[in-house]
Amino acid sequence: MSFNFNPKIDRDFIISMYEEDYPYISEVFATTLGQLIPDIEIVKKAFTNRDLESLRKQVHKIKPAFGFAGLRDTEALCQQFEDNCLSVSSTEALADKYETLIISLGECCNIIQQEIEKLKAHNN
Amino acid sequence: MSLSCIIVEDLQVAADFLKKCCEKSGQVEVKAHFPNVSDALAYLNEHSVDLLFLDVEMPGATGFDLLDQIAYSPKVILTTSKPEYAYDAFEYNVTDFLKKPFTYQRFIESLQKVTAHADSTPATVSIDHIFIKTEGKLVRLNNDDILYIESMGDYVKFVTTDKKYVTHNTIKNLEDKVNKESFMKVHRSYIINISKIDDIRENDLYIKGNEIPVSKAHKPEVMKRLNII
Repeated sequence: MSFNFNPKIDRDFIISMYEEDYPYISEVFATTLGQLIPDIEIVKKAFTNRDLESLRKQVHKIKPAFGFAGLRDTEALCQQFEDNCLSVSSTEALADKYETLIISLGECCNIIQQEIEKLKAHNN
Repeated sequence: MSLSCIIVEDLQVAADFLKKCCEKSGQVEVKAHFPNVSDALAYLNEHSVDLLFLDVEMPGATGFDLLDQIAYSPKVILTTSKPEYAYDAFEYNVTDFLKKPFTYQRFIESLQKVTAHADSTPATVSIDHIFIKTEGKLVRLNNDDILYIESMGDYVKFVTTDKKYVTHNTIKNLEDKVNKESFMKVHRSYIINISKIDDIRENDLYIKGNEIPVSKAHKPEVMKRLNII
C-alpha cells in the first residue's frame, strides 16, 4: 500500500532509493533523526564559538543526511551554506543565512519525526 | 560473495545504506564499519580487504590521509557529497566516486567498475618489481634484489641483497600480490625468492646465510619448484 509522504519530501527520490520498502524507510528516518539531533547541536556550537571551518565541516557532514531522507531542498540549502562558508572570513557575515539554515534544520527534524510516527502506523 | 570490504563513513545512515546495498548485491561482504580513519587504519594494519568504501571528510584525518598510510592498495570507492574531490580521487587512482545520496543502481554501476578494473589489471606475473611504503615514501624493489620477506607481527621485513625494509603489511596479503613465478610462501611467516635459495637441509632453507624454516605443509611445493636433477 502506497504512503503519503510530507510534501517537502521528494517522494520519487525516496522510492528510487528504497523502493516501497516502508519498514526500511522508517529505519532510515529514525537513524537520520538520531544522528541529526546531536549534529545540529554541534553546528550551533560552532557558530556560537565563531569557528567558521568547524561550522562548514559540520554542515557538510549533515547535508547528505537530508538527501537520504528525501529533503532535497534542505540538502541544497546546506550546500549553499557550505559554499558561503568558503566565501566569507567570519561567521558574523553569515548571521542571516545561519538563522534561515537553523530554522530549516529544525523544521526538517519535525517532519522526519512526524514521518516516523506515520510510517509506524502504516507499517502496522 | 567475492569481494571483502570495509566502510569508512561517519554518517550512520550512509553506512547503513551501503551495508544494505552490499548485502542486496550478493557480491560484497562487509567486514566492518568505522566512523573515522584511525579505527579503520588499525583494522587495515591487521586485515586485508579487497575494497574500501571511503568517505573523505570525517572527524580527524581525511579519507585521503588513510590512503596515504595503508601499506597496500585495495580498490577504493569514494563516498562523499562533495564532487570537488573528483580530481583528488583521480590522483589517488580510486575506482569510482559515489556522490551521497546515491541509488542502489548507481552503487551497482560502481561495483561493476571495480570488477572491470580488477579484470583489466595485468597479472602480477608480468611485473618485475614492487613498490613498498616505508619511512614516509614509496620505494621500488626489484624482484631480483629481494631475498625474502619475513613477518614481524603487524609488519613485514623485506630483506634485499644490501638492505632491510620494514613496512606495515602481512604475509597473507603479500602472498597474493607478489610475482608467483619468483616468490613462494614457505612458512606462515616467510615468503622467499625461489632463485635465491642456496641450499636446503631438513626443514630449513638457506639464503645468503639466513636460515628460513619450511613448514611441513609447504615443503612438497618447495621441492616441486626446485630444479632437481
